[in-house]
Amino acid sequence: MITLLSQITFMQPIILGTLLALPLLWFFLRVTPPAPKTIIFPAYRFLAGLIANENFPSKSPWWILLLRLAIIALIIIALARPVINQADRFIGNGSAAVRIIIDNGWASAANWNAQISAAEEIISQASREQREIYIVTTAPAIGEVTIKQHGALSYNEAAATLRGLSPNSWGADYDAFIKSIANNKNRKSIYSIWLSHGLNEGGIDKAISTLQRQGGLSYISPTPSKMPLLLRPTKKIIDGDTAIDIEAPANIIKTAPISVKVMAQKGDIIDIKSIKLDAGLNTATFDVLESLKNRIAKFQISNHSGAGAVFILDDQSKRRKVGIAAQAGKELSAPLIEASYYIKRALEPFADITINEIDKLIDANMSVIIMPDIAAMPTQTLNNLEKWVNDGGLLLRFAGDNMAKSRAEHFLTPVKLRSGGRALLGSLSWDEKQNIAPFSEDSPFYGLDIPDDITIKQYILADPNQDFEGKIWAKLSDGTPFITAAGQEKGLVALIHTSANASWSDFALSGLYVSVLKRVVRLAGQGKTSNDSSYSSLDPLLVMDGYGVLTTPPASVKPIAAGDLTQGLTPSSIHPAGLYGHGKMQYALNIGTNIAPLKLAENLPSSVAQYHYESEGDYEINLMPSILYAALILFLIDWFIMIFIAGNGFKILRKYASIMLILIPSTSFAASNNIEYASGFHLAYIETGDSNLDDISYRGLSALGAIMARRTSVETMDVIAINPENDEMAFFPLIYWAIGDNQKEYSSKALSNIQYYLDHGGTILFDTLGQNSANITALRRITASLNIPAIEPISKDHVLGRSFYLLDKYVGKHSSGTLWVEKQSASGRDNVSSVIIGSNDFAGEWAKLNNNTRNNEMSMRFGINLVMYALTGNYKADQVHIPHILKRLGK
Amino acid sequence: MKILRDILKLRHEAEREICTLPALMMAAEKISGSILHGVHSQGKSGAGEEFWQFREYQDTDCPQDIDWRQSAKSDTIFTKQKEWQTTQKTYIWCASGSSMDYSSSNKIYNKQAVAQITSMSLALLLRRSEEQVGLFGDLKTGNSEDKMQKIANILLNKSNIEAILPNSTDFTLPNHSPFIGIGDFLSPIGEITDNFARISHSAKAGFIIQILDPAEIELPYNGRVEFKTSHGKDGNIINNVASIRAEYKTRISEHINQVKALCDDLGWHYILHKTDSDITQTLKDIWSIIEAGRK
Repeated sequence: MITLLSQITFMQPIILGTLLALPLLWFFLRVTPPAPKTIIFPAYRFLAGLIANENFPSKSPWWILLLRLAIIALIIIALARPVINQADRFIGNGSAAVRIIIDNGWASAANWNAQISAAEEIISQASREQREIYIVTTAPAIGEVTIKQHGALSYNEAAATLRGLSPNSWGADYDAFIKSIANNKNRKSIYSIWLSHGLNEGGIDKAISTLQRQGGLSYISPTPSKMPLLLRPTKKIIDGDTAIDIEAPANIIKTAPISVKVMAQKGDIIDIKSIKLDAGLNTATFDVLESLKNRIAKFQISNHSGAGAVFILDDQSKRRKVGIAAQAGKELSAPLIEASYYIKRALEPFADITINEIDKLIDANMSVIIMPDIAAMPTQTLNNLEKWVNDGGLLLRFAGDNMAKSRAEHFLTPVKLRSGGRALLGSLSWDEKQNIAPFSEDSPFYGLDIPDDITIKQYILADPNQDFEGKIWAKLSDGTPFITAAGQEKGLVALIHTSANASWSDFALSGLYVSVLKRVVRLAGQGKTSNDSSYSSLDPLLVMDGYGVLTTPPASVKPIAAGDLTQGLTPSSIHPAGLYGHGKMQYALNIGTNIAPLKLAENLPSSVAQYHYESEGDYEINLMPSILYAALILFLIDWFIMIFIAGNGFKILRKYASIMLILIPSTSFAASNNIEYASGFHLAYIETGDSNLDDISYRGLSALGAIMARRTSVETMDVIAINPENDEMAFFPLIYWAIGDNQKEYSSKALSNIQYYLDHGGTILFDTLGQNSANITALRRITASLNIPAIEPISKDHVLGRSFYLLDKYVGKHSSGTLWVEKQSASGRDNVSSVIIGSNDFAGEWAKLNNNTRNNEMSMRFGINLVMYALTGNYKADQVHIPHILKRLGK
Repeated sequence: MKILRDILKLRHEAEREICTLPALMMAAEKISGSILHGVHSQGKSGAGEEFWQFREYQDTDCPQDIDWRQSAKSDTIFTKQKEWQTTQKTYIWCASGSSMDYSSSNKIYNKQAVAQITSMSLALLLRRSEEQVGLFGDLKTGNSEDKMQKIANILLNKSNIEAILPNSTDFTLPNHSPFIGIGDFLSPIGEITDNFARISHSAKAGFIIQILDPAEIELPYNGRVEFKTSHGKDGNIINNVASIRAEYKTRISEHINQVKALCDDLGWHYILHKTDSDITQTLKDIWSIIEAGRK
């Protein structure tokens, strides 16, 4: 309580002085009884001499007085505008300029709201104290390598700058950051507040000492329970299990477990594991059905936003394309004993299987080609195959009768082979039957259980006179190689020395067969991506934003040079985390893959003031409303006492009721307008603040409404001017917004109103009234704070050109400007673009009365089309299908 | 508190009161029809419409007065004498002053206004029945429209003049005139008795309408109240009005009963009117009494 009280600050402390008058008031109320009601009474004569019974309390009891004094005291305190946690605690009092440093790297998403509200608090205090405001981030903007310090900013500019910031999917660049602030050397002192995410991303000390030299620093970090977490790959991802590591910073508080989700491409959750975190790496292992494993697209920590809490997977862990080579022209004569049948059955759940001739498999860009017992092939095919392996293909071969019988030089085998098979249980053999020996630790099959009942009856022996170094993946119990493999340039050739079907061994009948094949197939593509000369660079396909959401990359994201991949690339502003690739090859760039272990920003110099973001509720809170409510409640209590004790309630009730009426915000006016707006179709335009422009908009839309009424069934009730600050926009399907150079700024509330309108089905036609650069700048300024989807120049067959009239040009006063529409409108809005941006001064043309020029007519037609488009959506686009539908109906 | 400020308003209110009384109006018309011009026989010959007696022609008589039909029956020449008939002169007295300027609620008229409306209404009603109306102590009787205007004027102008009882010492009621007194009559009963007695000597009939505010009867106040006299001179702070209410009510009803008893003694009629009740009803009551007394 004491600490809470100490956090309260009064913005108008002078008013508190009136509290001193309260004891005085008490004194007077106690000493002098309330003045009696005076009545001039003609029948006074009859009252004279009557003695009243004095038992009736003529003075209010002390506790009622106390209650009323408390009400007054509360009102006085409320008027003194108390706030909790005034931003002073961050920047102190003074006149020095204020620099807000915002960590906007990957780790900041978890505490972004706290950072921004702290920043807003600081700028509001700084502007109150008329201090200069600078804003600088620690991570560069997307596509940039340098960091720009914003400032000096006014309050509005600073607020707009803050709105424009967002967490990123790459880390901080302290060198660039220091460079950006070093430019201020000639300035006097600047006090810096570092709104951090709490991590030291390497070399924070230098930045801190620079900031301190420039005039002092507060470092604000999240509480340990809100520290960012990071997902890192586990080796086991490549292995059979599905698992991920969660790295927690050293000061993690071991309380509630977090849950990690395994998610499919479209956001379906495949599995959730909850795990209790310790500092450092924690492994979460998931139970995922084999058939679902291929659908895994990413791991994500629940309820923990940020690019670090998302780990996306690329093709490396995806379903492989496996080709099974079949002899040309050979039909499957006995399908159940055919080798390809065994392989197919074993791999079907985990891979896309194609059975075809080798040439065709190579053409189809298989990752793995399995050749069961093929000993010979045309030279051309062999060359192709060799090249394919050299380019990174994985060739898995099985032995068999053909190979054993082959007298030719063995090609494409990992080891030299002896010709002829070794039969262990033949009539002439004296060897014991053989089983597979346990897999050694360097084998990719390490950890697989070997059933006891596998009997290898026949296999092909490797020539013992050679170097087997690293080539043997599995041995038989007598030590002879059973599965061998060898790299060949970028590819890999593996050979299982027995047959793929059950003719030579039981191996093909065991579960081990499936496991072995699976693991081999998973090896495919490894290293293929790394330095493939044909893929010199990987284009960005999808990039992650700071919250870990994949989006279409902007043009400023550069392709990754293939060579960089081998060197442990970490995401940067030029290569944000995301999915990069080329053709069929994908590479997932995750934050957790190569980044250094998380380090807390600890051991800061003692002269740095350190704070925590406590919680949302800890920021500057205006207590005035709550205190006034408390006063109101005491008021009501007083009134109840009046009713039940004084028995005089109803008269007082009337008085209080009127007070209540005053207190109830008067919304009836707006509501009545809204009812009117909702009861018919209204055209609307945004009040720009330029009365001339607004007038033209009004007249233009009115003229359009009149024409619409004449030519179409749309009857416009009225034209409404909208002030996005206060007005509800939901009633208007289409809003016209003429952007002039006098376009006023809007508050964040207005902007969020507009955003809400756009997000929920509204359409705004922005009109820059020509190619005037000032207007275009104004448009940019406004749209900068709005989340507007990607737009493109209107296509020739856009519905806007055919929703009522057939138009190929969209003319206004001018006809040269291009109309821009949304590239792909969000689902659920009937393909209606939420923004349409033009520059032809449409309303200006519509507003021309009695102008029967061709241009005016075409402009009107555009207007009609526009309204129709906003009202009917893709209905007209669907009309295209009518002939087909009629045809199907047999008409 | 509703008060009357101009003549038009008073006139209008009064007309409105009586106009809402079709039955009363009918009665008034009927009276004027049956008793021509409201004349009252004086029991001796004089100017009038009714036959009184035949008398031998004397030199001083006008030849026009000779009743030839009667004269033809004998040798004597007769003149026809008619009964001396005069119209009745009703005097209304309306109390005024600070005592009357009181109403307990701003929704009802103060006593003054009610008294004025009642007075004016009665004047108008009497005029309709061709009676002569005057204001006791202020205006001689008449029944012209001009008279009505004067009555209204005087009633309003008197509002500020202290007149809690009729000035019966300086003025006397002409003989055989009915007297209508309208006021709150809250003075000590002795003063009222003396006053009424003086008037009753010459009054043919008396009608007293005591106008009181409901608050004066019920004393509906609560809590701590300072009561003052109408002059604002004396005052008395009562801490708990509720505790003296019963006693007060006894006292005021005793007074009302005394006034009523006084009227009964004098053979006058008494009506109590509360300002929150309907003036029309009171007018109806008083008029039925006046009418009954005339027949």
